[in-house]
Amino acid sequence: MREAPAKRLSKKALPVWRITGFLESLFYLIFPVGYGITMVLFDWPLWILYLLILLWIIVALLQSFIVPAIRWRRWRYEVYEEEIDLQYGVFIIRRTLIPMIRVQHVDTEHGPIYRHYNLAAVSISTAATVHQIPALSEDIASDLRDQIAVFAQTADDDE
Amino acid sequence: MTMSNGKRLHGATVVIMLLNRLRDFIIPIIVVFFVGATGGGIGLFAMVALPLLFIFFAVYSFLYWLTYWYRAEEQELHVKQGIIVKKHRYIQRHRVQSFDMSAGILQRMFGLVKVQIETAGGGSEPDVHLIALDREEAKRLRRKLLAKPQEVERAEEDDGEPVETDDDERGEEGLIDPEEEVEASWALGFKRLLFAGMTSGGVGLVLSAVLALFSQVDVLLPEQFYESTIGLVLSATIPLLLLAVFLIALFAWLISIVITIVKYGQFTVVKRGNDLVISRGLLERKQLTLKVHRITTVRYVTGILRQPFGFTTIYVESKGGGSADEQQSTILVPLISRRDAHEVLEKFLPAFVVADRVELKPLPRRALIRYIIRAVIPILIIIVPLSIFVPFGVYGLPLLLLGLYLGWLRHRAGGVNISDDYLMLQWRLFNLNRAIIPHHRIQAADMVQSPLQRWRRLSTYSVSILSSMSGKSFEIQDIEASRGEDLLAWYSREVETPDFTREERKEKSPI
Repeated sequence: MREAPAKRLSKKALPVWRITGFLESLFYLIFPVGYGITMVLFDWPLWILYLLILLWIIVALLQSFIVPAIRWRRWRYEVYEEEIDLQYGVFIIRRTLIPMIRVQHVDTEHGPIYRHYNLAAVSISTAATVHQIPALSEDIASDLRDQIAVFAQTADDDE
Repeated sequence: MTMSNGKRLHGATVVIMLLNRLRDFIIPIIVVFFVGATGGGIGLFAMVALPLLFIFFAVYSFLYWLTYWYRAEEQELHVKQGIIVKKHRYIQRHRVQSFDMSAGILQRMFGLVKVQIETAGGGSEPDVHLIALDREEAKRLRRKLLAKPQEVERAEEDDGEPVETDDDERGEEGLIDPEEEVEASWALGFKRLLFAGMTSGGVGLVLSAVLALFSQVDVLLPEQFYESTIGLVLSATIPLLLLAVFLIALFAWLISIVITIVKYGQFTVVKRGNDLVISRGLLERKQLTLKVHRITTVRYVTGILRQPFGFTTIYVESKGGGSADEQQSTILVPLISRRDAHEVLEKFLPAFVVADRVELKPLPRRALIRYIIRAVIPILIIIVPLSIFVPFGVYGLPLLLLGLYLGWLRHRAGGVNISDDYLMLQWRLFNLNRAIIPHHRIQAADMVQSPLQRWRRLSTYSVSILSSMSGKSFEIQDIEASRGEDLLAWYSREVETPDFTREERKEKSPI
């Protein structure tokens, strides 16, 4: 088997994912809160509320600490002259190959959180699919973007 | 003002649109009619709502016609439309990918044709849809849009669209082109059409429609009739009931045959140069032109009912083309025996003929349990609550056996192999699918492993290709993990391709 790709994401991906993971977990607060309201209205048992709160705490911890750590450890990429090799996933691991001749365009993008940490994501589009390498430091991301653009242009179409 | 605007559609557009709209609404109208009948509001509905609807559609159709202008210019087609919001659209001549003339029943009544023009790029709707034109006018328009351009651009494969250079008149049905040589042709023929209808497997769909209809009809029938029927049913013997069920099923089956015949009647495929022209339809002739070099995948689909008879259907995926009632694929050959399929493919798409008959590598035995679990779970989800809450629901449990069998079938059908530059995938959902995908048509390849798959040393391999509007992906689940790696390496341009003909020592490993 061919080696897993070597390059990793920026270490700063971790705080970003912790923040976004925590923000996401806030969404699940609607379950304990919703139950709390109906509980008062309909006089439902209290222990379910405690259970829901406990579950939420577990989800929040998972989302803000464990998942980001696993994801960072898994994420690998490598850009070759003829193809891009990605490996990622938290529980389900996906390995993707994108040949350069299929690349239609590359973008870098950064939202407010990324910008605060000087990070950027690189999106690679083929005619049928879009792939993203998240959380690279801005310099690496723009170099990578330019490099892919050059490789994509020079890659010979064998059709 | 009129001159600068260009031309309007044929006046009959108003009538055609109106009738089309009414046809779209006929089912809701019937439903409301029946529902209204129970509430006693039928009079009001029939007297007020229906005429209002009719007037609304009539006015809308008229205004649509009034405000729709098109004009073919030197380099582009200019379309102006919109009753309230005006929309201008310019379509570059060299961007025109297909120009389809067809005639529905309504168009035929007036001796007119419908024109659909498509360019590269997405959207489920055709870019320009001219509802009704004179045949002469449509031909003139086509000549203008598809005339040979001055400088023939070198069409780039993936984004630049090839220039259509077919500027000849096609025959009466837009079918026969005397100028270009017909290289190959294939017709379905009535016997096969009938057989295709009989084995289409559309019975279930029609059956549910028929039952829904019956459940509506009983509302209309007088109560007395209803009561006497119930009495009749209750007093009927089981053979009689079985007979009734059989008759209803037979009725549904006949309808599904008729549907197939109407849809695929007079099916022909003609190859002319780089074009595949597929025509079908008894009442409404549909004609589709596919470019051979735009076809990305060939897929054999063998229906469960057709498998015992050795018949299969050939689908193609192509950039551009593909219709909604064929899941964005295109049927190249609706019904053909597996023996002849090879020959037909050789005639129409020689590039997709896999060199020698390479056997598929089967799935490992340890994947069987995963296939069975996947097939049984959806049945369990339905059966378990049913057997708890519904009397006699327990009788649904034998369906589990069906799930087991299906899982076993799916596992047995699954297979994958490489032959030179082709990937062959075979899988079954219900129908047996076998896809032949050339290496250079694959947009990206993935190998996926879930934790459980890692434990069993299995993997799922998938490839994306270009289909009608966007991408489509084909995957095979639970192949040997090492095989997934090999397939990924085969796709890679950086790594040496592994030897797929070597024998499997891994296959014999324990577990």
